[in-house]
Amino acid sequence: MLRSFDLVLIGVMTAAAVVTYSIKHRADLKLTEVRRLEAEIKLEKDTIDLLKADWALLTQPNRLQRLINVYNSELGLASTETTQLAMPKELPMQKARLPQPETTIEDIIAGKNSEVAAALKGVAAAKAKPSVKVPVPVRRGPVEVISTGSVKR
Amino acid sequence: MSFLSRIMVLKSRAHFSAGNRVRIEKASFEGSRKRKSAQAKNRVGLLIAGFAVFYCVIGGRLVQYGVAQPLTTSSILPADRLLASRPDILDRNGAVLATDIRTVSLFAEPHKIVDADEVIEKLSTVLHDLDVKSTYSKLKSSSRFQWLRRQLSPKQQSQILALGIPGIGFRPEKRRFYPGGPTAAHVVGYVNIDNRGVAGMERYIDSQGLTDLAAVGMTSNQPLEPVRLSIDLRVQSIVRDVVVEAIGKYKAIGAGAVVIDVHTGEILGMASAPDFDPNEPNAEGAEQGWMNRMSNGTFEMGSTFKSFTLAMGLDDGKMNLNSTFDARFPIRIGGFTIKDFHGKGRVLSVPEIFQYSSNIGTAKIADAVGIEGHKDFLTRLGLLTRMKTELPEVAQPSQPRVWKKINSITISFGHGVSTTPLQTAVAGVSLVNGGKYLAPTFLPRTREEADKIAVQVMKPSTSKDMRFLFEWNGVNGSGRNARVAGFNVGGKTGTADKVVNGRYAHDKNFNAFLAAFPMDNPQYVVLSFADEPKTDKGNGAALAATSAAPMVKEIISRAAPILGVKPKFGNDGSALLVSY
Repeated sequence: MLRSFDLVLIGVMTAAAVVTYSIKHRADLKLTEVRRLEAEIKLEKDTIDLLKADWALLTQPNRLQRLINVYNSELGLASTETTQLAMPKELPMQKARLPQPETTIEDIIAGKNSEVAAALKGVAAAKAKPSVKVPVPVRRGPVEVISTGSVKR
Repeated sequence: MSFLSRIMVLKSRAHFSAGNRVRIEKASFEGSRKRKSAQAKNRVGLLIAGFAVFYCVIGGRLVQYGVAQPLTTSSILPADRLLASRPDILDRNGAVLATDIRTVSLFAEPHKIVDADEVIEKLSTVLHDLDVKSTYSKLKSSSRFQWLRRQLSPKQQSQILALGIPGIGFRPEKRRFYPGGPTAAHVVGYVNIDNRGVAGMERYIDSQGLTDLAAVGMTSNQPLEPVRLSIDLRVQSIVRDVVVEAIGKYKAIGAGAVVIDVHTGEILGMASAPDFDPNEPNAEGAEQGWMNRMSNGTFEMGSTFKSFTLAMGLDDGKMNLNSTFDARFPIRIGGFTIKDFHGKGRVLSVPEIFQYSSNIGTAKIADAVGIEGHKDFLTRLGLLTRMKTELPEVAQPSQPRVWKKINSITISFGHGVSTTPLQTAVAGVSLVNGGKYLAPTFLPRTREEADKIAVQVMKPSTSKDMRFLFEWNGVNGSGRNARVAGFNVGGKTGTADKVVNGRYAHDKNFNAFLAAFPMDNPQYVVLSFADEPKTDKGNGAALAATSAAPMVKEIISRAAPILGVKPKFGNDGSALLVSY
């Protein structure tokens, strides 16, 4: 004889069981996920360790020295002489930091009454008047033998 | 009345009384039923109460367990030696000198192998050099476990996994790996098959408690804090390069060099050749290289010791740099004749004694100080006692059991006392750093820490005079071959005849060069030595000026810029690059 209250209780019990089971199942899934991630992290860490060792191996000074010796015919590297070392203050001044003169060469040329302007005028005048007798080098063919004359044969 | 009859009487009375009750039978029947049901109810109630208490106790206990903090308990398993990790060893800049790498080893369980031929066929696609015959016999054996290949690379492992062979498996292993190979072999040391430090700093680390940790299994799979050394890998590499080159160039049976910071006592680089590859310490022929000649070999240092004799004389106050000593005539004592190798045959000043390496002059200085003072001074410099440092391989220096005058005289120019080259370099540090003795260290040490443990062993003025003498000899004397433009190297050479069968052999030399740079403000002491170099020009004398001094020059010219020493040109240190 089932009473309605019993039915309710059975329903509640089933629901509770289902909920509990699903929680447990999800926890299991999470745990699997955690294990997988842990394994992955471990693998990554091991790989990092291995790569670090590999990096240390590849950057060993003695290995680099060996490589330089092998490929030096192409690289043309030479060890730094101590006389090639200099402190920053010993270097010559940068071009950009050179003190600028107050009047530049363009200013002087542009100046109307300056000597430069007069000289330029003279040049322009000389160019304008084509000279008749300008000695022009004689064009020669390919020279095979050049005799200097100073050597007695 | 007997006992039995009395019972009978009682029984009959009871019967009687029961018979009396029959008269009111009806009423009493109802009552007994009622009474019985009440009794049953009571019993059920009692049962319910009992169960309730029982479950309450269980529930209470559960709540108690739920609320209580779980005690951290653990069991100590036997240490897995294949997985015991060691701390990484780094140089002062963090470059790796030794590290653990995880490898896997391939094993087979023969009773699970289905088809041995197929297994071999598949495996040989990955492991090309697999020995078919021995592997087949392993797979067919009746044992339950067989190693097939130790220490595979991760790539090989994944390839073998991809083959999907039943009956084989992998076991992780840790292996010590030294990326530099022999570069810092004698400093770092090596480990044995059980991952225990056998030599060098590896052994030092073990002696600091790592062995105990490993024994209880606390180092398994546990990242350990790396150990940082004072070594600079770049300098170390240069030092080792020069030392190994020297063996080939001078055909020496041994060579070594060390670079020490004069202010902290830190060792920046130390190499001894022949050496070995710590990755394979037991390889064929490697045992010749096990000996660390720098700290575990003792040699008579020869004229290098004159630096200490002169410092002693200057510190004693019996002489100054302007004092003169008569070096015209050899000294005859106890059947020995003390002569000068580069004899000048005249009265020499102190810088000249140093420059020409006059045995007669130094003998006279030692004589002036006296035997006790001589012994005392060398002890203060740590030249007569076993040096204390982290490295386990340190030899005990030897000295005469009783010091006589002849001993004091020969020791003044470096014969009669055998010291380790490292010890000599450490004593040399005191000569140039203001007279402070600093115990050498392979671990980083700051200037402040060094100042705390420093022991003043001579007057600062003596150290100043010694700097002058070193520079003097570097510019004018036997140290010229070690001059490096801009770094003002000064030092003292030493060429000692080696003792063979109790006699000094003139054709077997020990060459050493004790140097410091830059001499105007010394930062580093460099000592190099070559054991039995064949650099003599037919006269049987292989001079340190042509073997050990060029080694120092090579080391300084290559390493000084790395060590952060600024080159100075010109006499006043100002930039003077006109000639370039």
